[in-house]
Amino acid sequence: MEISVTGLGVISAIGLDLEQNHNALRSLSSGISKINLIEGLSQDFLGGEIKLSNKELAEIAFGKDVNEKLPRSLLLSLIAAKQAWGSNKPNSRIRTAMIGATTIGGMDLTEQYFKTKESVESLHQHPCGIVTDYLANYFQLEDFKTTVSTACSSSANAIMLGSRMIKNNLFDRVLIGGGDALTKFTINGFNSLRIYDNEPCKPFDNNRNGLNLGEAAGYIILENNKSIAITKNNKIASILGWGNANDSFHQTASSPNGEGAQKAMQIALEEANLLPDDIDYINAHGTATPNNDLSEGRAIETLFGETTLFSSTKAYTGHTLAAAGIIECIFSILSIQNNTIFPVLNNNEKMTELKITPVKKIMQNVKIDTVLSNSFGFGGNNASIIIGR
Amino acid sequence: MAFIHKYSTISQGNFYNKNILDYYFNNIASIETIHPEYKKVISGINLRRMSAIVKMGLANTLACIPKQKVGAIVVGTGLGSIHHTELFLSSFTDSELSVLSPTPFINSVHNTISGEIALHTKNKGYNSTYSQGGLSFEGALTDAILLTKEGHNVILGGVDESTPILNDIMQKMDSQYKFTTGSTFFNLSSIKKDSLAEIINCIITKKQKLYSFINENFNPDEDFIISGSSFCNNSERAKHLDYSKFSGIYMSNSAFGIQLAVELLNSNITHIENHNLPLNMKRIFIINYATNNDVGITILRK
Repeated sequence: MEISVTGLGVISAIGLDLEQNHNALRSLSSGISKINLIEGLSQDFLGGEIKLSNKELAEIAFGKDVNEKLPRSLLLSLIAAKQAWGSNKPNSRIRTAMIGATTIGGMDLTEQYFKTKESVESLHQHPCGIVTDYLANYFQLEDFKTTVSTACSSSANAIMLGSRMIKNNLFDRVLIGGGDALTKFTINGFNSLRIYDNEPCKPFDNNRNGLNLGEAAGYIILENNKSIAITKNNKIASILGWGNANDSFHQTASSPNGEGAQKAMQIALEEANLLPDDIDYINAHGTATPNNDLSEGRAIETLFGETTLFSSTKAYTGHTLAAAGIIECIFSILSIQNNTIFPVLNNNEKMTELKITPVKKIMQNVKIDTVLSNSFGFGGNNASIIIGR
Repeated sequence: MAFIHKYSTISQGNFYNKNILDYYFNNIASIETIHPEYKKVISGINLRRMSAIVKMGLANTLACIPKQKVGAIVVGTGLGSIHHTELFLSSFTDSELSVLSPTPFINSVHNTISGEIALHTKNKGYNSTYSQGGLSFEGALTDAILLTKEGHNVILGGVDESTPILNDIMQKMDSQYKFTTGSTFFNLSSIKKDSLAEIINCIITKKQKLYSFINENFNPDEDFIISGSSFCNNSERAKHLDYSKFSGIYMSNSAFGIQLAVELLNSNITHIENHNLPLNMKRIFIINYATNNDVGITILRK
């Protein structure tokens, strides 16, 4: 069963659509800056902030100003989902499901309520499922809908569920995505864990000192051949494999040797019927926390050997939590389409514990047919997706 | 297909490791969630650091662990640990503290429940968490059905908690109902032998399509409907046996409805409340009126 990607949409700190994101990646321009749209933070933070107010985002999403008070993650998600869905339509002959991913849902509005105790009705927008509900209504998708909420691996797991639904012939087409806006809740949360760097993050650098959060949304369409025969959509890429395994080590930290990460990557390879040598490039989770990059680095080294090509795009966008998995799968597709590896940024010193080093300069005209993308989250959650042409 | 081998509930009523129907016939009224003695099932060191919602999920999981290796843990929750969400929100809203405790933040993340279950059962298999308001459990169930097809032995659960702040907010929103706390977990596999029931189907659809679905699929001589909801102002469900009367009101309470259906399929009772069960009952439809527009339909057979 072929699982084809036929639509892409993305909005992040490095661009409001796919082309802008691609341009920023290939010109190595980071979207990390001082966060200035969120009021009431206890100190300055750097992050991948999209420099548009909610009003401006609503104008992009709806083509006009709307009076409705909507969560920022919903606005980001709607913008990305509209790009991906394009002129596709509901069709009674195409069984279509909708899978979203978020960690915070409408938390920005909940924060406002907790501060002001006004507009209690905005708390209807709190639960994680609200974005999926909104988008399913917007695109008139009336069958299965759900929202994955597995922290930083949420949208990778959403791609996995969608792919398995198509493989098992449960649905013909799935609109899949994830979105998280920057909120005080998550910024304070990661800061309380003492893994928030107040300088631009340095993935896989010996002196890395934590992550910068970011905000983004990404959406894709997956279709089987039966659906493509009707929609006549062009195939952009294929989902070849997926793996999910639990580290079962600690609530928030990864095991020192990345056992769960290795297992997730191994399962994905088996699902794709590929060997480690068949992977041309790895888009790592690479958050720049001391713990993640060591654990993931060791897992990559163990499974793929010392010459493997890998990088992380977190220093471009920030760590976009539930959106990270899907926007990085979209960046991986850009790598395949353009035979290009986007390098890590801010990487100056090799990690002493590892033999492998990430790609530090842009590599063009390298044959990239198959990419593995990692997303790891709290709760020991490890997810890997393999994408092909 | 997916076969149910074990179940366990913590909810209104003394249900842990017991049947809901026994409670019904004993007619012990309770509006409070009755928690088991957690220290009898979870070791003390772990218990102290655990949030209430994780305790419920883990205790239910431990009651559902099969002899075979568990390959996957899947949880549906509408709000996750809303208590720890409130705690963390308050910690940076109400105080000027610049050093915040990370514990409520970690516990507020929805997949802390499935992650902690994996951690405390030393399970390194597939792990996922779904949240979709009143359809949160149906998302997890759909994944679990696929996982059994893929050969996994699955722990599947629904869990939600209520808090005074949550119900205060509900009251301010002029809600006619209060949220309660509850959780139901299952062990599912593709093995038919010794199973309690088979899940034939689980779909999510629009309410206006429900009637044609029932017309096409429901056979009154052999089928029985139970229904419920995670919100109260709903007249449709009054036509059928209403599982939410027993479960209380929480977003993942359709898991409770499914346990009730499993028990009915395995019982000899001929009627319950004002409803007669078909003499030759083969299937039970569990209809979850999740919102004013969305329904989840799960079909079980013995």
